[in-house]
Parts: sequence; C-alpha cells; structure tokens
Amino acid sequence: MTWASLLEITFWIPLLSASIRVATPLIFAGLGESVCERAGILNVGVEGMMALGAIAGFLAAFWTGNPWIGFGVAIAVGALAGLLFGFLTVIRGADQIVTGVVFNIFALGLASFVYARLFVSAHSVAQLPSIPVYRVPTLSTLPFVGKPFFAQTPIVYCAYALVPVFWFLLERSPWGLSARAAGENPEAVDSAGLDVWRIRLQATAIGGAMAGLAGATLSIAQVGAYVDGMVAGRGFIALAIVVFGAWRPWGVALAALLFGAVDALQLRMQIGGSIVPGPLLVGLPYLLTIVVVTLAAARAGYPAAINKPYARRRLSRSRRVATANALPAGTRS
Amino acid sequence: MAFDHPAMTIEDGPSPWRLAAVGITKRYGPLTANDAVTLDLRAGEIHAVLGENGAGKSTIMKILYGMEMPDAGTIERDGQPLIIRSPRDAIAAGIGMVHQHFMLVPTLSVLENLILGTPLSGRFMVRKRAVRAKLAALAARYRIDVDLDARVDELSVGAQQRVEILKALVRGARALILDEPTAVLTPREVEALGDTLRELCAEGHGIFIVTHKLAEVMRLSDRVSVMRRGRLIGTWPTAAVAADDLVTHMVGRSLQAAVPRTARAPGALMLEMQAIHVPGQGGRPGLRGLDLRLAAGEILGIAGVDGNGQQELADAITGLRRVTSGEIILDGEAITNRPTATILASGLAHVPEDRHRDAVVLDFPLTDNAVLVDHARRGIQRRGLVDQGAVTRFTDALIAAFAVRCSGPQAAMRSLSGGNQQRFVLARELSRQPKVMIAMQPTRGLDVGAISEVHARLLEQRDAGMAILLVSAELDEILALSDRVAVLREGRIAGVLDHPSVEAIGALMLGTAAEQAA
Repeated sequence: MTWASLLEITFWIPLLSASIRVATPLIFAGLGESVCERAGILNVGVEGMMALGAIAGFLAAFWTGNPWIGFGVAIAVGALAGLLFGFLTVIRGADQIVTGVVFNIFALGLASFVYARLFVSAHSVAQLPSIPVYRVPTLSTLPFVGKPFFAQTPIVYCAYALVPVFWFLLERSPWGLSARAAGENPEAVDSAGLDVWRIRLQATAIGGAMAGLAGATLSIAQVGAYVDGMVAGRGFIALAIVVFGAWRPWGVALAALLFGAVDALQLRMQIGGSIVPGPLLVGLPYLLTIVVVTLAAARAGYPAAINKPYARRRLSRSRRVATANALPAGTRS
Repeated sequence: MAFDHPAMTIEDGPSPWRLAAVGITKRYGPLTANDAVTLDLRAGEIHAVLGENGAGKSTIMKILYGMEMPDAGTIERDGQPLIIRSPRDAIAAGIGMVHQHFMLVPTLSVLENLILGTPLSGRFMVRKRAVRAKLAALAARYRIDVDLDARVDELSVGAQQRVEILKALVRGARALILDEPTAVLTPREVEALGDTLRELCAEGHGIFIVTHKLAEVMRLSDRVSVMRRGRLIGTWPTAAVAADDLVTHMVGRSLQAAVPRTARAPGALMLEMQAIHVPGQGGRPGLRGLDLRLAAGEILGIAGVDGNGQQELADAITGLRRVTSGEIILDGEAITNRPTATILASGLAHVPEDRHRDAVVLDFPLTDNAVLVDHARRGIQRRGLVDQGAVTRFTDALIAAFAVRCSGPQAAMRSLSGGNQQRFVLARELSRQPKVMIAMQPTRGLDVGAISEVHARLLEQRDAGMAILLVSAELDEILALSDRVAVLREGRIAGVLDHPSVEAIGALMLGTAAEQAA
C-alpha cells in the first residue's frame, strides 16, 4: 500500500464495502445487546451466543443446503441461549458479569466440541456455497455510495432494516417504554403492575436471538464455514459499541460502522504491506474498543438498574385475578 | 383507544364504597409486623394511620397494595373479599399507592411515567399527542399542576409527588395510600397537598395517610388510627381525640412535650465559612458563595428543602468534596480542602445523614465500628497493631455511656435498631471530644423515644460548650433545638433568624419569587 493509493477511489470503495460487511454482525449483536442493557441486563455472554449461532447456523445451512434455514436456526438457538442466561440472571438473580463470562467459556467450548464431534470426522472440507450479492436496482448505480451500500448480500440489507425496527421497538412501542423503565427503576415497573421478570426475559431472548443471527452472519454469509474462534472477540466489541452508541439503535449502527471501517482498514494495510507488523494491526479494533469505552465512561449513561437483579415478584398469574376483582359497574360511579 | 377513566365520567356524584383490611397478620420470622390488624377506609374520607417506626403501618399498607402477602386475614370491599396478590391486582381493584420513595423512572418524561403499564400506552405504539390531552384534562380536574413533557429527574420533590398522585388516578385508583407524604415537602407544598387531597375526597376518593407526624394528622384527617408494635391500638374520629392522647397511644407512655433548655451562652467563633463555592452535580445547585459563622455553645439549625446544598455543605466542611473557592476556618485554623483525616483530627465530629452508608459498616461488630475513625489513636494501637482488648474496653464504655441496647461489643451493627445505631454513632463521635459537630438529619428514621434522647444529648453538648451545626429537613426539630436558624436555598444562606418561626423559615425556604407566584 502506498500513500498515493489513498487518493484513488478504487481504494475507498472496496474499503467502504468491506466496512459495511464487517459491521453487519456487530450491528445485529449491538442492537440485541442494547435492548438487553436498556432493560437492565448486561449480557456479557454475547460472545458465546454468537459462537453458538455460528455453529448452529452453519450446521443447519450445511445439512439443509439452505442458508436461510441456517439463519433461522441460529436465531432460535440464540434466543434459547438468551433465555437460559435470563433464567440464571433474572430469575435466579446470578451476577450478570460472572454468569456472562462463564457462559462464554461454556458456549465457546460447546461450539467447538459440537463441530469436532459431528463434523470434522465426517467431512474433510466443509464449505458452504456463498450467498449471492443482490444489487438493488437504481440505488446500486449511485456514484460512490451505490456499490458499497447497495451491492451486498441480503443479510446486510437485513441489518439496515433492523435498525429502524429496533429504534421503534425501544423508543416508540409500549414494550420499549416498559423495558426502558425496567432498566432504570424496576420497582416502578413492578408497582405499575407490570412484570419485571417477564420484560427482562423477553429482552434477553431478543438479545440472544440477535447474537445468534450475528454469529450465523459470520459463518454462513462471510466465511462460508465454521472455524473455531471465528467470533474472535466481536461479542465484546458489540458490548463496547452499545456504550459508544449511547444505547440507541442509530448510535449503535454508527458505532458498528466505525469499528467496521477500522477493521477493514487494518486488513487492507496488512494486505498492502505496511511497516507496522500484522499482529499489531489485527489488534487495532480492540485498541479502539478500549479507547472508546474509556472516553464514553466520562459521559456514562448506563441504565441505572443494570446488573442489579430484581427479586420480588414471580411471573404473575394474576391477570385472571385482576379481572375477577374489577369494580362492579355500579361502584365505578 | 378505549379509555374511560371513572373520574372523567362522573356525572351523578360519587357513590359510597368501603375498603377494609380485616384481621391481617403478617410475620417476618420471629417478628410479628401485623397482629390481627383491622382497618377500613370509606369514600370521601382521609384516614390517618399513625405510629412510630416499626409499628407495622407500612406493612399493612404494602399488604393492601399487594406488595406483601398476609399470613392471615382478608381484604374486603363492601363486604366482598378481594384477592390481592400483586400491585396489578390492587390497581385493578381501584387501590393506588404513593410510596415514600417515589416509584418513578427518573430518565423518562412525566407523560411516559404516567402511562407506563396502562392501556394508555397503546397496543403497538405510544400515541403521545392523543394521550397528552386526556392526561392534561385529568390533571386539570384535580388541580394538579405538572408539566407532562418534563423529565422526572428535573422536577422538584413536590412535583414528583404530584406525578405519583396523578399516576395512581390515571390507573383508576379510588382508594389512595400515601406513605409519609409530607416528609420531603416544604410547608407550602404540604398545604397544596392538603388542598389536592380534599379535592380528591370531594370526588369520592378515600385516602390513607401513613405518617408519624401528629400535627398533620390533626390538620388533614377525618379519622385516625394508631398502631404500636404491630397492633392496632384504636381508631377515632380526629375531631374527638386529643393530640396528647394520640402520643400516649403511639409511644405507650406519655412524653415531655419539649426538651428543657437553658439560655444561650455563645462563646468564641468556632467555625467560619467565607464565600464557599462547590460545583453542583446532577442539577443540584452545589454551594454558591455560602457564608456561615458558628460559635461555641450554640446550635445553628440549617433549614431548607432537601437538595439545596445541605450535602455539599457537610461535605465541604468535612473535606469530602473539593471547595473551588472560599475559606473554611475551624477554631482559627484554615481547613479548606485539607484531607478529611486531618480535619477530623483537628476537632470535628460528623454525624452523617445516611448512617448506613457513611457512618457505620453494618456487617462489622460494634468493636470495629467503634474505631472506624480513630483506629490509629494511641491507646488503641500498640506497636503497629490494633489492641483488641483496648478496643473492647472502649466499645463497652461507649455502650454504657449512651445506654446502647445490644447483645454486647461483638454484636453486628446490623443487629441494632436504628435508634441504637444512632446512639452508638453519637457516642463514638462525642468520645472524640470535638469542638464542632455537624449533625445531619440526626433523628431521621428514629422513633419518638430515641428522637427525644438524641435531642437531649445534643442540648447537653451545647451546654457543655460545643458548637453544633444541625442540618435537618424536620422543621419541628430545627425549631426545638436551634439557637439560631439559617435557611439554605440554592446553595446560599437565604437568611439567618435569631427568633425563628415556621412562617419566617417557610418564606425563606421558598424565596420571594415563589412567594409572589403563589
């Protein structure tokens, strides 16, 4: 890589394309994690859930020959993993960070065990057919932005679509209102007659499902295979992205793009030959993570009740009772 | 959106109803919090439930609101049993509660807090515009003045309480439970609250007020019940019972009304603060050029609404918070921004507001708590080690001097009642023989007996020549103890009164601007 090449558009367009590709799983995982955290659950297990999604999605896609079934299975497995995490942290009240760390160790081990047992022995090279690029008519012919943004695989468009969906879910829907409240003051939610546990379990399921989708994006859409350690800390980067994106879907998406760009840039620099040793370049996104989280700490806006188990009420069976007690019409004045 | 609020559709006037808790018993381990308690509430009345801390009044209210389940007894409406297992059930049955610590989400707007968990929040999306009109109408109906679009953490405590009341009404509450509603309000806000409550009663709502303040009971309520040690002592029409009798029922014995005191004999200037500035945090004013002078042998009361710089004032003196400009002089020695240990060693005692956070370690035994501050003192420390024998003797002395009820010097701080914890903290601080003492809310959370004892101890120290800075949100306490009263507002001393009265203090607390607006 020479400095002159920086001036050429042929350098920038592939770089932007690659940034978006790299950002896609981060967007998925970050959106899911932001829902979890807004509801008061710090899901440190994203990394492990991504690994589970990667292996489950890969296996399903390989056996059925259909990548979309693979994504579906990865989402389901992720949601189950999220519910398990939720059971431990929300209902059992386990510490979210410790549980998350242990969950990661467990899930990464499980993923590589499953791959080794079910797969390596039977198939020497397991490669999925790559997902074809879909060029959005008209938009993909736009100058400069057309190709990077609109000549991608459909899974990338999925990420574009989910950002506003998550924005609506969190900021405009009644569920989002109660989830945000559960992350700030669960007592208030309880006293308003809502079920904190149910809301938080829903949030961890959403977070897990999105982590699963993120993992499958890596294995099915980007590499076309499962490789041990392929998540490579992206789950932790997703945690940083959520902080940097200030727990808001649009912010999360922008933060993911920034990380994608740094990662894509360091790849280019490696390929192009740089005076900086390759392994140091690989560390660049992680270095950025540390910088970003440190900077963000100053204006920390963590949901107040994050990593605080809420222990009062069981999943309520009281809807029925509530109707039974309703005031008779006469006394309602 | 089908939403017919009962209060919005009243046409033919309120109809009578009666809510009753019958024979409620609740045990927590060996402690019986409620022992066959029977209380009732009728449409259109304010029923005050009076009792000391730990009398069980909060427990019975939590049971009514579904936050606790009784071991025995039933809740009835018009003679029909109600099943209340969660706040959701209580809300559906028309019971609302305003907790002492508000159940609001600080980062959400007033409107969002009001609709949280109600059909008003919609099925698929929150339609703020449509909802706003309905809420504004409801607020106007009860003359509750709130800004629906303000974020809750930007509101004053009084305004937050109005939001809580409105929240209960939005959920269709007919029976309203207010837990210690006046603890955090200015005198004027207390009056406004009274107006709102009377308005609600006229509309056929019924209100339980849980409190330990006698004056409010006499002023606000139609009926009053007294609880003591988990039992209901009795229920009377307020007009037919004397305040003195209520106190006797509450405490189980009669108390002297006021602590006797001698004339003030102020001595040398002990503490001086000159133009102190401390930056505020989280919307609090901090200190903005505060001046204060405290002499030996006097109690200077600091009155003011919570959050006007009380914490910053104490922190500045004790060195816990950096002062950006100004000078603090303790007995002729500048202590501004000196290390806390140095300041304490130069003759300052500190009784902090949050006992559990700042004064003691709950899980440590009394011995360790006794030497939390002074463990390096000669006599406690020997050859670099803490002399446990000396510590135990010291702890025994503290326990004896202040008659702290505990199982011994090895008892965990947690096992003591609030009153005994405070006695122990006072004993420890006074054992350091300070020249100046800062007492922040020294009787918060204590029962009547413990309060009068703490008061007596403070006056005793004043008579012995100590300079005492008393910061309290309880005006009664300020008036009972202080030789002079300084009113703190927005980080400044709004005025110092030599002959304080509730009215004069109240006016200073609010400031002239608020005075004109009201």
